[in-house]
Amino acid sequence: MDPRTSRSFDRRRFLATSSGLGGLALAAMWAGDRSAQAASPTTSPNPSPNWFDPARARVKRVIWLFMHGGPSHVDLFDPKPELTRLAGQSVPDSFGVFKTRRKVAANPLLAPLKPFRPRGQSGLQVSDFLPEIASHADDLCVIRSMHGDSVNHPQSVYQMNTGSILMGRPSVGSWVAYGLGSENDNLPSFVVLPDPAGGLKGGPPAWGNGFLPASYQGVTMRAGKQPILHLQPPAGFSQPRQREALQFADFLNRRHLAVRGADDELAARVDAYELAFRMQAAAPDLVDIAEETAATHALYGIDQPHSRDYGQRCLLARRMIERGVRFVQVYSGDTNGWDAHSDVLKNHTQHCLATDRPVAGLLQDLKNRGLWDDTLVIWGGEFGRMPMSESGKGRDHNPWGYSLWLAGGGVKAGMAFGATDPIGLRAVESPVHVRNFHATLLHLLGIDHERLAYYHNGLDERLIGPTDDVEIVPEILA
Amino acid sequence: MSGRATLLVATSARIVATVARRWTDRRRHALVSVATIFLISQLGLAAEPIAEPEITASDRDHWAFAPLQQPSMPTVQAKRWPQTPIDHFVLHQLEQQQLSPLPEATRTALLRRVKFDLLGLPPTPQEIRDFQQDRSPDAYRRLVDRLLASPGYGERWAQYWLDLARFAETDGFEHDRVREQAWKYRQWVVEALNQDMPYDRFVRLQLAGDLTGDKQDAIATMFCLAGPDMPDINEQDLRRHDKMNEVASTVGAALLGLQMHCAQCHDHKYDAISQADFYRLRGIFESSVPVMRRDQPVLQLAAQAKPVTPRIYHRGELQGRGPELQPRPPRIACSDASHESFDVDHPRQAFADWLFRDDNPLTARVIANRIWQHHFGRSLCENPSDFGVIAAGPSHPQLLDWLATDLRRGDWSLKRLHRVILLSATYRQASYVEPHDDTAHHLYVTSLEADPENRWLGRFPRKRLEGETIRDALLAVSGQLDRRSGGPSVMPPLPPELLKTLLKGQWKASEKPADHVRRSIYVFARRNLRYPIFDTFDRPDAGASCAVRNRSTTAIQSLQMLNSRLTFAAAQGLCERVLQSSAAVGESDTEAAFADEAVVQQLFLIALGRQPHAEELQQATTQLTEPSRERNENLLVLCVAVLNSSEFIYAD
Repeated sequence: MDPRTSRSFDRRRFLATSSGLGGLALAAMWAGDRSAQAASPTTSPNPSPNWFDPARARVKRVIWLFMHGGPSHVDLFDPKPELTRLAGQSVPDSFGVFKTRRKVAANPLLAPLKPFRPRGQSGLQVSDFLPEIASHADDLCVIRSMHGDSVNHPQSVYQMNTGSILMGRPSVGSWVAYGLGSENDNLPSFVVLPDPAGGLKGGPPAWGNGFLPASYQGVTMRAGKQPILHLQPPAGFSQPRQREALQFADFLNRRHLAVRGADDELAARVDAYELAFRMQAAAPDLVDIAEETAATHALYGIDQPHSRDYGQRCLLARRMIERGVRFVQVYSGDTNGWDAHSDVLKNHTQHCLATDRPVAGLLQDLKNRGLWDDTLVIWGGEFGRMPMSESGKGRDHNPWGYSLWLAGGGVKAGMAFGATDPIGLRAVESPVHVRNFHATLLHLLGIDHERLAYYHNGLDERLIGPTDDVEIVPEILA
Repeated sequence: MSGRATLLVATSARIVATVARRWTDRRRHALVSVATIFLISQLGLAAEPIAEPEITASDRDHWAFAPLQQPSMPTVQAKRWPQTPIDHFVLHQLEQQQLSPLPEATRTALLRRVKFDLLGLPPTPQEIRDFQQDRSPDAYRRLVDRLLASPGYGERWAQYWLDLARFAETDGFEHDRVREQAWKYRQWVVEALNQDMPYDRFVRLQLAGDLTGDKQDAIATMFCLAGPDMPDINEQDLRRHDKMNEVASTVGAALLGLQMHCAQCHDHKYDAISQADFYRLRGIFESSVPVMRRDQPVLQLAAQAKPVTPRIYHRGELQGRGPELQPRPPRIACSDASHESFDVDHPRQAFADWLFRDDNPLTARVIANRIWQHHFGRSLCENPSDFGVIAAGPSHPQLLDWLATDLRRGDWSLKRLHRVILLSATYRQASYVEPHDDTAHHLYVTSLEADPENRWLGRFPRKRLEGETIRDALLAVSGQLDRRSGGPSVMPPLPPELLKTLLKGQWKASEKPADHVRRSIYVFARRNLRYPIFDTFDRPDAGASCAVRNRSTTAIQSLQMLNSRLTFAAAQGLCERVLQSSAAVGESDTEAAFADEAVVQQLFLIALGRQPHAEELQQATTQLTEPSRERNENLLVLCVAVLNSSEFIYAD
């Protein structure tokens, strides 16, 4: 739907609803549809950005399945027969010195815990940990040569989300919301669905707006009756009373604005209340997954206790992008998440079981609904895991080489790009730094990664950082 | 290697040029600096000099570095308007634009403005009555003096400084561990401001308070180390490196108004700040940051037994160890003589001395501009922490210099500067004029049309209150605010949904309910989770020094104001308060209509600091007497509405 049409439709609906209530004639006072041009909160796209070229955009929306804690690439998407062969031995000297989080460098190598098999037409290898995702192997574009800069969780969580290992910079979703604006006037552009089991390492700054205006921050939503914080009136204050309060506030605010004359900020505030009002109606509808069929629930694994939660949130993500939310992150993993220091088999069995069906269901559903071609799905963590063991059966963090996959519009399918060394320690063939990944992501959305900038404290700040040597990865583009 | 060679060639070429230029320089020290810059690189292939562009005369011509002199007062036509010298400068520029200032704001507007400005609190009905009835010519002056003397002043103005100091009480990153003593620094700032500690001493103690021997003074150095930190990082040397760079960046931005951080990886693209300048500034603190040990916080500066030699780090990376250098202030902000004679053995004291020397124009300009900024909601320059060549310079350069010199004349007393600003006619102007006042309204319309951005200050700029102030106002108008001062932070309850985004135990609501309604300045500042209403209303994330907050308007703010427990409890409290006070005022039994009007009037007076207009009175009374519900319930609806009005969170 054309966003502009939907906007005026919703506005009319809002005015119709509210003017029927207390006779405060909201609509009559401001018959002209001023809000259509006024600086509108949350939704206003950046005026004539020179970084966006619609003709180049391959996708319109992003769903980022974030596997917090660091899933093991050598156990999931990066088969390493050499690692099986060398299991029990130390890392050969030829691999040189490398940094680890927990002094595991001298520990014996640990073989991949489950077998890999070629899948589908493409023969792309995926581990038995993820049978359902494996059945979509022909849809995946696996980057096996990702690398970042820190062995620590929060720094890597920040880097993957904001481009910098330091805290406090705008996250990718905020950049995209800022760069493209919203497609839906009733919902935020950037939504985050955290794992209800616990917060991630690095906390909410992972989806913060940094120095960008607050309207671009990731709005956390969850399944259930209160999808957004403060969405519904507090206990003891009924909907009708709240509507009256809103109307009286609107009367005061319009008068306040009228006697002061032109003031975009005050006008935007009047609009913000209208948007809040619409969100109150739109958000519960958005999260009402009961209206989905039993077959859809089963597709996402919502019918199974172990995958119910992640399935619900993947389904929510689909419902969001259907309604024009630009950027959705769905986190898997509580505070520890995929951080399998002591037992990869146990940890990954649990997390794969919780996410495998939901992720596969999401891919299938996007196809079924014709959303595939303009949606980009990202699967990955903040880093991968070390080839050697920790505490016997676990693995330590590995930012030097790991896997991440993309699927959906704009990317090649059924391929693996780049490679780590024979044991999966470092990215050696066509390495893709997190910065290059971000540049490619922006490129797929039709954004020039070098131009997307925000002037702050003397610098044109950018997601990709200050240097002009950050390239996209053209080989993976369809 | 070839890249390196090219770099070397380019570097040498620049050095040759520099040397050539310096040879022709008649100043006696010219050779000294060149001689000191040749050092052996770690490659061992060639001498690796500190190559940095010379500061040119045109660099020094930039307004921010020009010598500071008291400007003479310009002549104005409307001779009766000015109240203080400030007004001459403002009026002069207005008249040049063929504009006139607006008349003085109404008493109620002025009271509300200045009280929010100085204390961050709404005026009480009693204050409103007193001020309206006080017809003596110095009524406003006495009001200003009373507010400046209130302890609430420090509680309000400390936050501006804490934003600059990127203050929070936790480390950030994964564990976001609590810094148990951090609140003492906040306390120190609040008290220093309340005592009107002169700005030179205020800054000196924050840079070198550990050297006075007084433990209280040492607390002030938490300014330097208040930023984020990752004590559990594997590489403690990297932790230290990041920390040191962050200290230098903060000092540069907060005290000098220079974006030094742009020069940590390479020479500043636009400003005459070389990478060496950045590491010289960092060098001032190099030997005073405690040795970092895993999982140990570092909070205060302390001279270290083992001095650390400052050096350049190529590309800003720890691995890029470059040539050594000596601690010194940035060359561009420094006369050659001061740069030369800088006491490198006592760099922090020397730096503090230098900041307040007469030949340093920057310090006074930067702080005078910040004080102005918070009174008018915007600084005289585009970016108060960037006095470099890229950000737009001051709209009123003469005024800025007058403020800066006045600050010096007043021995760096900030309260004195506040006072001279607050007593100006510029500050006392109306922010708008209602249409029924024909002549003045015409002025207002002209002003809006001719100067929509209000660059020339022909009207007072309306201010949006900060999240902290909005919360304080909610608590104040509902009679809940607990005004106890000082002490460790408190934690009001958080919505359970937010608790889930934190690690376990990171936010335990304070046991005593009275602590939940303390002033916002005392709310625990967790780096990884700002208290919701502060966050929604643009509180900075304490990741880096923040000079200007964003001022966003979002639907999430509206939801917060409409539906949070905080506002609802405030609406309930306000409701009770209105009923009590209007019962005391009105003759409740005589006539119901009168009582209803009295209720509405009390509501407006308490919450908005003014009487309702006729139309508002009529609409509100209708709502209040809506027959389907109890009057109290109708009043609650009105209270929620008034707290959600734009007027509640803006000051005219």
